[in-house]
Amino acid sequence: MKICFYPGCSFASSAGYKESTDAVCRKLGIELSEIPDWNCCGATVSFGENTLRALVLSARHFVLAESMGFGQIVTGCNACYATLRKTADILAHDPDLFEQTKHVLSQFDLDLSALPKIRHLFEIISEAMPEITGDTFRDIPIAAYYGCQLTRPHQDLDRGDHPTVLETFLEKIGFGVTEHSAKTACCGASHAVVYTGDCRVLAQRILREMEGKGAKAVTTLCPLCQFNLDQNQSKDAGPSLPVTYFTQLAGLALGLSPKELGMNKLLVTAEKVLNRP
Amino acid sequence: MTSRMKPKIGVYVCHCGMNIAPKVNVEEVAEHAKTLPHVAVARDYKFMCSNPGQDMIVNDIRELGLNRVVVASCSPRMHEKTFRNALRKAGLNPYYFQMANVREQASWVTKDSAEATEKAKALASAAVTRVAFHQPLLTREVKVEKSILIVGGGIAGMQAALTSAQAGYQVYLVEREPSIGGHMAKFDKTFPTLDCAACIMTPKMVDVYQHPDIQLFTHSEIEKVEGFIGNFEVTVKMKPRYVDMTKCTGCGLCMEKCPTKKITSEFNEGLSKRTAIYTPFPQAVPNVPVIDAANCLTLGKGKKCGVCAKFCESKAIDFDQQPEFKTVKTGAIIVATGFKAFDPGSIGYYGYGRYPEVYTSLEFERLNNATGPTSGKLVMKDGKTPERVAIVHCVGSRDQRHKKYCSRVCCMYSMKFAHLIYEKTGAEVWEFYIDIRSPGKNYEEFYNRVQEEGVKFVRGRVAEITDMTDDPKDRGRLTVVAENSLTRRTLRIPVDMVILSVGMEPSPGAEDMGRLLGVSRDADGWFNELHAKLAPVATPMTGVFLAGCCQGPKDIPDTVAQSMGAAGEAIALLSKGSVTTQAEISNIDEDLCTGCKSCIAACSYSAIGFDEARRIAVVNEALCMGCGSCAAACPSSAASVRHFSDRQVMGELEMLL
Repeated sequence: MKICFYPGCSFASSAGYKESTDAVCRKLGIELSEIPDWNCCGATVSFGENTLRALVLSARHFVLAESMGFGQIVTGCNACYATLRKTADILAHDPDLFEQTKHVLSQFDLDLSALPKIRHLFEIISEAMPEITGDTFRDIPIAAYYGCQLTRPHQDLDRGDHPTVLETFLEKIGFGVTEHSAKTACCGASHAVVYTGDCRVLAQRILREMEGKGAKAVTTLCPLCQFNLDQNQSKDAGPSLPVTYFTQLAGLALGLSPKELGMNKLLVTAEKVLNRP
Repeated sequence: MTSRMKPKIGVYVCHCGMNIAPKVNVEEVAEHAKTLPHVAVARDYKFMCSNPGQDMIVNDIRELGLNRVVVASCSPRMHEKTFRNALRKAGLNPYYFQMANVREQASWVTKDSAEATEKAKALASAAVTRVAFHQPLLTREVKVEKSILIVGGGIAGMQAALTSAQAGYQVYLVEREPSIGGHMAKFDKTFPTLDCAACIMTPKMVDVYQHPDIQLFTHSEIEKVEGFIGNFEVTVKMKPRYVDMTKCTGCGLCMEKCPTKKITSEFNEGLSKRTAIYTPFPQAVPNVPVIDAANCLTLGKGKKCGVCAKFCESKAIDFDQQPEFKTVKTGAIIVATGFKAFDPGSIGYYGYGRYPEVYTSLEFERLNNATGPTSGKLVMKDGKTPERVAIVHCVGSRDQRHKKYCSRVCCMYSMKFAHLIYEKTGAEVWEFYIDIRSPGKNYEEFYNRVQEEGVKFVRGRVAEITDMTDDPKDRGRLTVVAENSLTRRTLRIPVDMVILSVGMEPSPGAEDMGRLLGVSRDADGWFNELHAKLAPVATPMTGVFLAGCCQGPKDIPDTVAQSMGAAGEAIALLSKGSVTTQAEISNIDEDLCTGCKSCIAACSYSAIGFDEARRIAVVNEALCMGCGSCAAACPSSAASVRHFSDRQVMGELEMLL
C-alpha cells in the first residue's frame, strides 16, 4: 500500500518516531511517499495570524498531493493533522476563501482543485496491524495519551472527550491498558518553550494521573506530546514513565528490536519496562 | 338586503400610539383611502381599539350609513374580534369588516418611512377592494359537553383536574405512567419555603383519586382525538396492567414475592432496584401494581413463573389482559404533558455515567428524599458523608450546543440543594453559576439566606469534571475545573460529590400529542400558546389549553397558577353550555358538485360526508375548520370557503401586486 505522507517539521527529529514508523511500515508493506518540497503547515500559530496565509500554507500540499496522484494525505502529527483537516474543512465550506486561496496558489503555478481526505498515520497503522494474540506485553499497562487535537475539534477518529480508539488499538496489538482521565488534557504544546514552568505543571499532572491509575508506560501519537511528557520528568522525584510512540509499541508487537525503533532516543528509558528477552 | 346595496366603506387608520404613526404617515394613508372606490369616509386615530376608537366606527355606521369597514392597524390575531364586535354593536353583520395589518407588515418591518407609508397604502387598498365583495355570514351556537379532559397527571394536570372538578365539571385525567404525581412526587422539599413536597403533594393525589367527578386513567395514553371545540371525542388507550384494578387490594404481597428484583427503578432515577410487578413508589395513586411485561419472567421471557398470581389472594393477576380502548366526550382539553430532564450523558467532559459521584439533580432529589434509596441520608456510594459538594448550574441550559433557553428552575433548586446539603451534612458547598436568576416571590431572600449560610458562589461555567487530581492526597475525589470569571482565575476544586443541575426539555411524546391535537410547537419543542401575554394558556386550536411545563420551563408556583388558569379558561368556555362556531367554513355548491369525493379525501377533520341519494358531498358545518383543503382539491370548483371567495382574494391580490 502506497500512501501520501506529510511528515511535518518535527517528525524526523523526534525520539524515534521516524525510525519506528519506517520500520513498522516496512514490515506491514506500507510505502510512505513523502510530499516533495513540503513546507511547515503553520501548526497552531498560523490561523491566529492570518486566515488566508494559513490556508495557503496547508493547501499547497493539497495541490502537491494531487499532482502525485493521491486523494488523501497522511500525517503523524496531531497539530499537522488538525491544521490540514481544518484547512480542508474551511475550503470545502467557504467558496470565497477557496477562490482566494486558489488565486494565491495559481501565482506559483499550482492549481487548487480537489480537496484531499486528511488522515492520521494512526488510522493507517491501526488498520494494517494484525491482531497480536501473544501475551508478551499483555501485563504492561499502558496509558494512551491522545493530546488536544486528535479528536478536537474534528471528531473523525473518535468522540472529542474521553476517546477510546487508542485503547482498542493497544488491546489489539497485545498490550495492557490503563483507563485514566488525562487522555485529552493539554500538555502545553508549543507553549512549553516559552512558559516552561507553567507547562511543567500541566505535564506533571498528566503523568501523575497516569501513574496513579497504574500505568507503567505511556503511548502518544504526536511529536510535541511525546516531547513534553518525556522531558518534563525528573530523575529524582515525581512520576517516571517511558513515553513511547504508538509506532514503537506496534514495532515491539511485531517483534522488532527497541534499537530498530529508535527507542534508545527516549529520555526516560523504556528498557526496564518494555524490554523482553 | 345589505349585500345587494352599493358598498359604502369607512376606512380607519390607527396610529397604535408610537407603533405605526411615526413610521407610517397615517394621515397620508387616510387621504389615499378617500380616493378609493366606494370609500365614504377615512380617518386616522391614536388607538382604534380603544373605546373612543370603536365608538367612532359605530357612530359613522349609524350616521353616515356605512355598510363596510376597514381598519388599518395591527394583526387580525390581535383585534379582529374587537372590531367585528363594534360592527355588530352598530347593527352591521360583523363579516363586513376587513383588517389591514400595517404594523407587523409595514411599520415594524420597514426601515424607510416613505416605503412603509406606501406599503400601508397598498395594504389598505387591498382591504378596501376585498371588503367590497364581503358577504354577510352567520355563526351558529353549538351545545357543548360539560366535561374536561386533561392529558398528564403531574402537579399541573392534577391541579387543573381539581379546579375543574370543583367547578362541577366531569373530568377525565389521563396519565401515561402507572401512578399520577409526575416529577413533583420525586421531590423532597420545594423552594423557597422548603415545605415538604410529599406533604403538599400526596393529599392532592388522594383528592384526585377520590373525587367523584374525576375519572382517572393511569397507565393510559391518548390514542385518537376527533371532533371540535365543545364536542371532542377522545379515545383513550388503557395499556394492560396485568392486574385487575377492581380486584386488587394493594396488599403488596405480589411485589414481595416477585423473583425478578433487579430492575432499575425509574422513580428512584436508577439509584435503586425494583421488582417486575411494582408500584413506582409506596404512595402511588392508584395503589395498584403493574407488571413490567418486558422484564416479567412469564410475560417477557416466556418462562413458567406466575409467583405473583399464586400468592394473590384476591386473584387480581391477569396475564391475558389486553389493551382497552375507551372513547370519552369532552368539551375542552387541557394539555399538561410536562417535561423531561436533560440527559447530561451527552456532555462528556462532565463525566456523568463515568464517575459514580456525579449526580443529576433528579438523582439528588431521590438521594435526599426520605422515601429514596438511602431514606434521605446524604451519603456517597461508599457510604461516607461528603465533605465538599459542587453544584453545577445550567447543565444543558443556556448553551448554544444544547438548549439555548434558561430552564428557569435550576438556580433556585440548586440553592435549595446547597441549603439541604449544608443542613444535613455541614459539607462545604460550591455553586458554579453563569448568572443567578431568582426573580420569584421570596426567591432573592432565599439566595441571601444561602449566601449567609456560607455557600460559596463562583461565577463561571464549569469546564470539566475529572478525577485527575493535583494533590495525591485527593486521589479518589473529583476535581471541578472552572474559571472564576469575576477574578479571572482558573480554579481546580477537589470535591466529593458533584450535582449537575440539568435543564428541561419537552416530554417525550409531546410531538405526537401536538399532532393528535393540532397544537403547534416552537423551535425548542414546547407547545405554542395563542398569545404570549394575553392568551398564555389558550392555543390556536380552540378548546385546547396548556398547563405547566409543556408550554415552557416553569417552577411549581407558576405551574400551579397556570393550571388553575387553564382550568378557569376551560370552565369559562364551557359554562354557558354552548359555543359559537366559526362562520368561515366550507361551502359546496350542490349544482356544481360531481360527486368525485376528492374533497372527502382531502379533509383532515372528517368534516365532509357523502349524500348517496343525491351523489354529492355535504359539509358538516360543526366539524369544518375552514382550512380550505377541499376548495383546493375540488376539480369542479364546487367547494369554496366562505369569506375566502375567488373574487375577494383576487381583488385583494390585485391591489397588492
